[in-house]
Amino acid sequence: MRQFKTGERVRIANRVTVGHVRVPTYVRGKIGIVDRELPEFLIPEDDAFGRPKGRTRPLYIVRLRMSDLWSDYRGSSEDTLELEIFENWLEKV
Amino acid sequence: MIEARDYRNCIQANKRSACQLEDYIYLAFHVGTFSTFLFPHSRLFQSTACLTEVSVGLEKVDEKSAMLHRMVSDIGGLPAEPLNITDHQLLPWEKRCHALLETLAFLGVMSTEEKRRYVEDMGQTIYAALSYYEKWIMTASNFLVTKGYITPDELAAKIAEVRKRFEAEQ
Repeated sequence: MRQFKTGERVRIANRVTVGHVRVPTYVRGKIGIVDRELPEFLIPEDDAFGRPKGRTRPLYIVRLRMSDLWSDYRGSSEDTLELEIFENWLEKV
Repeated sequence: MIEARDYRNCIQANKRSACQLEDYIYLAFHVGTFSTFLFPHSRLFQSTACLTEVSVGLEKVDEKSAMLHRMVSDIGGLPAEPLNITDHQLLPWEKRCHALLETLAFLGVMSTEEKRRYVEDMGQTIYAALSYYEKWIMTASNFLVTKGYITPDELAAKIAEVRKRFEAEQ
């Protein structure tokens, strides 16, 4: 059962990293909007350790404002960044 | 993470194109798989100087905490040199290295995420010192040894053999 819908505000989790994850630190703890819902895929946390039958989770494209990511951002306040984040790294706002 | 999606497309495309697969296998095995470990062609031996020059600085304030949050590849927002975006030709060994890793991925031996994890596992110092394909070829060696496809003895013997041949040609 999918936890998030397109257009919903979400927070990207801010956790200590052990093992292999694909969520860059500069987006952790930041709030964005679900831009698109993608299918379920094998998550990197399992894939990276040679477990092709590991856990799958829904993937989302999350859109964040560049000015929310970088305090010294000098571009337009409308500039955004979109990146793929698995559901296990997203939190309700 | 765009490349993860591209990778899936790439694999699907490969399944449709046997010709491309044969090209990969040919490239990887034509020269004998292990001659891809032909280090003298790489800049590995010249790159020790980079160790002191390259700084991918973790915050000095709370270095241990930063290390737990941030993997070595996660450099977004860190101080860095200007990007070099000029086009450059791949060296022959780099093409063979790419072909070898693609072949391992296609055969389902090593996934892209696994490859990335092996690269990260080299640690900060080696990660910063090696070039892109130097990281890949080290990853191939470490992976194949870890999984038992080759032994360290075989790899060392082959590198010695190839090095001897290379030096004789010089």
